[in-house]
Amino acid sequence: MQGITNKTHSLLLQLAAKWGCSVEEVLQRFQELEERGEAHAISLRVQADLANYQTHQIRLELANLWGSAVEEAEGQAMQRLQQSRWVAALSGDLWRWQAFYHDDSVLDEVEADGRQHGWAEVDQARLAAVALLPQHPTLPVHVLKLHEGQRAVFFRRKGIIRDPDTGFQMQMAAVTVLGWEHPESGLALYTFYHWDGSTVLSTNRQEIEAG
Amino acid sequence: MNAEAGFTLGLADALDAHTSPLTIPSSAPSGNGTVFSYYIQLALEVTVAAATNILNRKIKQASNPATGLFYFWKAAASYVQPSSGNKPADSGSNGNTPAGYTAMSTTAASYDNASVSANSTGRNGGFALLVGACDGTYADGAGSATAMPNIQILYDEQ
Repeated sequence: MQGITNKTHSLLLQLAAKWGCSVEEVLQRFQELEERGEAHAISLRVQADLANYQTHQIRLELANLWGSAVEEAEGQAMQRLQQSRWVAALSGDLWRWQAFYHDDSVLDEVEADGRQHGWAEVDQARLAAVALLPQHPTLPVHVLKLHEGQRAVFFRRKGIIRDPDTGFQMQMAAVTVLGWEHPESGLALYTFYHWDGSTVLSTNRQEIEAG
Repeated sequence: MNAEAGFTLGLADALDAHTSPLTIPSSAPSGNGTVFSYYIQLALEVTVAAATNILNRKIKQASNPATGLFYFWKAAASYVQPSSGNKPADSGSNGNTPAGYTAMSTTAASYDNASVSANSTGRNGGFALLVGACDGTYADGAGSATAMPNIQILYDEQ
């Protein structure tokens, strides 16, 4: 909470604008999260907003906030983001998949010894279910159970923002996607999992973009 | 896009084309004419090898640029050195889209959907050629302070 209360009123105004609420409601959200011991969630939210910042106005705000030149503010923003333990999560690995086969064997995206597997290595013919294992304690486990003729789909939707005026570049917050497709009927259903745990269910694979 | 320190769109084959800036049509702000930049070739670059594949590469602009300024793009499978010979030819009319290119939108458009393994470092997938343009409706004057929208490259990794 200390990091939040030290922010200036202008940043609160930005957050209020981004979240569609008043400054008082922003502060109330901070307080509620603090009381629930979830201050890190607001930290993640703020960092995501910083990661999504795209306008010169916000760069000016950051420069004002940190008492530095605009170029230095950009550098500081990148440095702070890079130093944050959330950057890796925001870039796409909030969940890792685990494939369960009908013979009770399991294939982990990341093995205990660190070996990694790509989704292409999953044997769809033997696949019974897929679990998404959260890499943060506040996020839930998700499980997809497959039925006859369904193929599981998994991917992380990512993006890169490039400011051509400054060369500033950063990763967008990734969206983790788990779903199924039924080739015979053409039916499909995808669930898009955002970094804050919210989800969107859609039959359209392209429904949600990163960020 | 790789970690190079930025790019500019101008009238030269250079990441930093400040010494050869895009010119404002002499007819601006009320006449007809469009000046196009050399193209910049954008591509995803794998910097740490992984077991995953990358696919569904798309490009978009984060917002619309100022009146009279434009991004155009087109897909290309391989690198071709930009030159005056392959720069889109300037037009005598406003809002002209160069042949083979598409006006950039705030809605993502696919430039390469192929699934390519990320198991080695280097470029992954094809290129998106990016061109900047200024036409006779531009009225904000010369200088480097005119901001262009951010470019977003989107992709799936699995």
